Amino acid sequence: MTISFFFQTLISGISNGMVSYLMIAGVSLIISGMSMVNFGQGAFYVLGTYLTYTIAAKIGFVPSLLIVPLIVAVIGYFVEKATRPLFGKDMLYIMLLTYGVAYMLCDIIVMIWGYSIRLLSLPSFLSGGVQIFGITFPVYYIFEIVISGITAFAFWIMINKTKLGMLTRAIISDRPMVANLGVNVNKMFSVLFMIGIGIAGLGGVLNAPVTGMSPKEGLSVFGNVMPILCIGGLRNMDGCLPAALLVGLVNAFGAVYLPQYYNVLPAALMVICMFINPQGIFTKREGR
Amino acid sequence: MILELKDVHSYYDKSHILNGVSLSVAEGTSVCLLGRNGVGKSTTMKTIMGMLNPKEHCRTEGSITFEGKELVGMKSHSIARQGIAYVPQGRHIFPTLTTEENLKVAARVGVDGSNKWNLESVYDFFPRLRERRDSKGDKLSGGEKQMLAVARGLMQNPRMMLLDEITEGLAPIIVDQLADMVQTLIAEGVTILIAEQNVKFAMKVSSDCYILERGVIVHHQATKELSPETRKQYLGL
Ligand SMILES: Nc1ncnc2c1ncn2[C@@H]1O[C@H](COP(=O)(O)OP(=O)(O)O)[C@@H](O)[C@H]1O
Ligand SMILES: [Mg+2]
Repeated sequence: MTISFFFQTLISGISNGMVSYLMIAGVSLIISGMSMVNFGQGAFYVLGTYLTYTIAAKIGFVPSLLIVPLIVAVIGYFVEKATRPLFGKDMLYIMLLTYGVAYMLCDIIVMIWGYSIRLLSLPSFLSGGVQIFGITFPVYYIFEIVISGITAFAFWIMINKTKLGMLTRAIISDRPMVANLGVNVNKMFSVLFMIGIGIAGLGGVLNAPVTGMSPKEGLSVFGNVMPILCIGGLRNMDGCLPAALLVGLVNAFGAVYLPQYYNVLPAALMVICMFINPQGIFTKREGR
Repeated sequence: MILELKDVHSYYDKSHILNGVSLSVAEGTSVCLLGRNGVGKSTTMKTIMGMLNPKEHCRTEGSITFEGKELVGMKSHSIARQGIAYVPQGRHIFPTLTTEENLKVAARVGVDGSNKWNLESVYDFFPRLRERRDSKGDKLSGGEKQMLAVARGLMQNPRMMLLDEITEGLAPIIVDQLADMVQTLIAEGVTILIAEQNVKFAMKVSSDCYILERGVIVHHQATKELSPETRKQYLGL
């Protein structure tokens, strides 16, 4: 492996990992804050991709980075409202419910956009390569890393420095007490859900120019990122980013060195990590 | 009367815990709810906060008014926003939040728009909390947690505070500090309803007391006039 090929693989791994992070960050936020796993997150990601096909054609790709996540978040708001009566019920209900929502969303995507797989063409300033230290990298990979990095940073600030983030962490340990402080927890859930869904939508936008997606992938992409969630720790929001990067890198280098095992690598990594610490390898263990 | 309970019945699922509780608290006074373990003091507090609602498979009947407004049927967060700060038994400090974050999540201006209690004034009132501002909630001592629980209540700039067994499990010297603190709060015009088993503490910090037994008020008197016989009969002291 030449040095330049190594760095190219590295950058492609990081950029893929960062985009997965965008899908998983919202799932993790929703698990932590609302104690529910949104198995349907993938559908919102794919919805983000499909909305981008249409909206980028009208207003351009860069504005879509802002507009599409907003639209996806608003749709998420109504989904959250409609499904709320089942919150706090058995996990099985939540699973069926969120999958059901994903199914419906995917069918709606098919109704609107049909089955044909498309790919967005990149605006000229994002296509082609850029030379860094004599090595050529695709500009778009760098762009993905920057946008996801900014989002990850904003997300970190939100969780750790804002009142909403403090309340989210407070809810995880003692929801009734948060309500007793005068906080409308249901309203907060709506906001958290919208943020979580919106970030997934952003991941979908970034994905639009990279891989063509069939609408039905809304049901399966979640499975691909599930290992990240387990590696980072289901209830550890800070574990998502390192776990996503780890899986992104393992995927990228695995494709080079172990192509025949490519598909099982994330799952194998997940199993190993869960042996090390079932709470997630990026979770601090209590009392250690 | 700022707070008035009239014939309040409360149920956890099928078990009938409060059996027609009536009591009232005048604005600016401190009233104590005395009674042995398990008589329903905490349940009274929770009922006022709207926590015994059908969503939790509980039920509340009767009338609870705060400044004339009916609280029964209102959601917990709306009740808190009427200006009632609840300091629950067991403190319920958020363990993963720092002292300062525990205070910040509660910060709110009062119903009258006052912001007398803010981070600075609360720290002045509890200097120990300033020293511990960056410590996680679960790293605090029992006394510190209790101060934080009260301080968190104050951050809501409440008209009234519900203090549930704030002396529980604390060393006598800390209990004395808490008594000073509650007296200062009363002097500042905060209305207080306090649940206690510690009669000595109750006598220091309340003017009026109700004795609760198996979900019924069995005695009502000025706290200072509680006779040793009454105390023995209902409180086993
Ligand atoms: N969550 C609950 N579910 C069912 N019963 C409860 C619950 N909490 C308290 N109780 C019962 O209600 C009664 C009163 O409890 P509580 O109000 O906590 O008493 P106190 O605060 O005076 O010690 C007790 O008999 C207790 O067992
Ligand atoms: Mg109690």
